[in-house]
Amino acid sequence: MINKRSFLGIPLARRSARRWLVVGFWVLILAFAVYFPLLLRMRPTFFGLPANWAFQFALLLISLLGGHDRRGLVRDFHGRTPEEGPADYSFMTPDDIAARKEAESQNRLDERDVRLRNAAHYRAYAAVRWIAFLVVFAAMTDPSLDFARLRQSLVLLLFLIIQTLPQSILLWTEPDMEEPQ
Amino acid sequence: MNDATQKPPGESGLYNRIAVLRAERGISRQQLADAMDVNYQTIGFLERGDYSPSLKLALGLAEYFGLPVEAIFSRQPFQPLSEQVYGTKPTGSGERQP
Repeated sequence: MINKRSFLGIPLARRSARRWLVVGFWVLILAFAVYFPLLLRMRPTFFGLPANWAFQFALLLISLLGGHDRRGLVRDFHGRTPEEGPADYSFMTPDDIAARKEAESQNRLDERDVRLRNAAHYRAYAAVRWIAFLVVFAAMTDPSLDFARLRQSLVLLLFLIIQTLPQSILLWTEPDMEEPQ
Repeated sequence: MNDATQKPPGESGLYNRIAVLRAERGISRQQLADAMDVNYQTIGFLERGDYSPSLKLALGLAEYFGLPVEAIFSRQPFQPLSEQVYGTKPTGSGERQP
């Protein structure tokens, strides 16, 4: 399910290295969520609103782990599965068909990938359910918490968690990768 | 996988002879993966018993190796080949026992 064997010189074939990468990624996400309200309060610059830049950065963080396209660390979750059978190539030119087939062969999920992908989403859903439960519980039982102040951070954090937790789970749990031989 | 040191299966709880059959036929994981239309890593997980295949993949492997599926996968440890062929128990010293 891992798409790349190395990232910025970090060998991803080893699970231990991947786990360090996930830890670093989540430290970055937490720091970003904490400072996000400050970014929103900054004055607009020549290059655009800080909020715009913050959103772009959030999207970059999401695309880094993959699952959404072919460039990420984890294989694209939307790749064709064995159950789906061949794609519909009607109304396509031969060149387009060849390009599409090439992309699909690089982007295909086999039955184990599909099983892992689904399991990772279930685990992520269970985690998000607990996080949502704790947030709501804290909001209802502790009147001293200033949720108006935390709102922006919480919304961003929840957005990033939903978008990247399945990928993080896969990077964390996949065993060491082997050579093809 | 064909001697008394046969490892217990991984998460799948299934014993298999894929590694032996692959070595016997001199094919790589990648070649087998291409023939089965799966990723080569999936073959590695199958061999280690860390993944239990779908019925479709198990039957595909049986067809590929030209063997019945129960000759490739088993819930019980496989009988060592030496015992099957020669009726001997492996001693670990390389000597054949009557």
